[in-house]
Amino acid sequence: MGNEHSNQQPGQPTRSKSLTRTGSKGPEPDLQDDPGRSASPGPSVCSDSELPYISYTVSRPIGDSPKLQPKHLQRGKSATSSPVRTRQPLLAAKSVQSRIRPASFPNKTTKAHTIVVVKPALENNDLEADEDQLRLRHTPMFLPIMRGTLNLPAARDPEVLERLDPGGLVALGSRYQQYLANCADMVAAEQNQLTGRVKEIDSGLNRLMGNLSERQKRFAKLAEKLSKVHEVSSQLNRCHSLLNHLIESMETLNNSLPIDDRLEPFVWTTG
Amino acid sequence: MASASSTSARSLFAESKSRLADRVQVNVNNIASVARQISRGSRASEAVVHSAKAFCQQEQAVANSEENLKKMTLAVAHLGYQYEAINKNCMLLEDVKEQVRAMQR
Repeated sequence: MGNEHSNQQPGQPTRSKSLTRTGSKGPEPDLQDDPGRSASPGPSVCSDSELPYISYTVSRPIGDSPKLQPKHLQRGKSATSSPVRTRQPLLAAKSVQSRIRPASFPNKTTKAHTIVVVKPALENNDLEADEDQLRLRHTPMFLPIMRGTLNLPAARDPEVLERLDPGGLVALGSRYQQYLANCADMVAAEQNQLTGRVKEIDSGLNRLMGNLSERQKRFAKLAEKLSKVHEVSSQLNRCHSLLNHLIESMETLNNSLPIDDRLEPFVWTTG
Repeated sequence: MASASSTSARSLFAESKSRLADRVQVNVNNIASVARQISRGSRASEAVVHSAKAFCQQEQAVANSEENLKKMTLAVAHLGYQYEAINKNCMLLEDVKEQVRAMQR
């Protein structure tokens, strides 16, 4: 691992050279010694026109990284160069190159820390322990349908396309589509039913509420009217007692008169 | 020397690898478009989303119903009180009738 990581450092100046075509710090004879290394990222990674700023970070690592990652210091790695390195996992078989002098890094730690590395660089402990890539590697070996294209790519395409019958796949796809549509329709129908029920219940409850409030108002009026019965009875009592009192007073008045002027004794008769 | 041959072999395979990767990518994209066509063609998500939206709009109705129910419990309590009052007054009515009869005597 140390060999691999120490091998990267001289590789990056060569890569920066290949990217930017400007003077770089890397040893130039290395480029001629190992022409294969400059092509290792592959043609699909990037072009110098797209990412011109890589040259700055590849040749000059950012100062904080050695302080935050002392193990990188021992291996001579920098934070920005590690993502570059992860694209080249197959270069472990390189011969020993010149090691990085870690003396260059401590100089940068004495400067003011204006750049802060938020997250240290990722390290590949195993070679591609990623789940998906493991699964990709475990796929069985299969031959292409068009066997001729193993050697010659894109030969006689229209012929083979005639032999391939898409009917099965189309039938499968349309069946699945129909099935999905049926399931969704069932679910949507039930849900709409529920919605209708909710609406019904809401309107029913509204009606009931109206009935109840109407009854409540009527009963309030009736109860108010009937409560006058109490008043009536109390007034009747008062009338009765007053009448009795009146009769008594009349009796006493009558008795206090001389015998010649007395009226007949008062008899309460109805009708 | 082994490293040199492996590097040359690697450079030989680089192009076929890239082509293979391209074909694989094209195939994966095609499969993805087939899957998208199936899911969109069945209009499953549309129907379900539509019904879910309609159901969500009933939330206001459900809240109304709950409020109505609470009011109804109160109204029922009021009606109970009113019934008691009316009952009591009806009993008093009987007493008043007795009083009137007594006054008539």
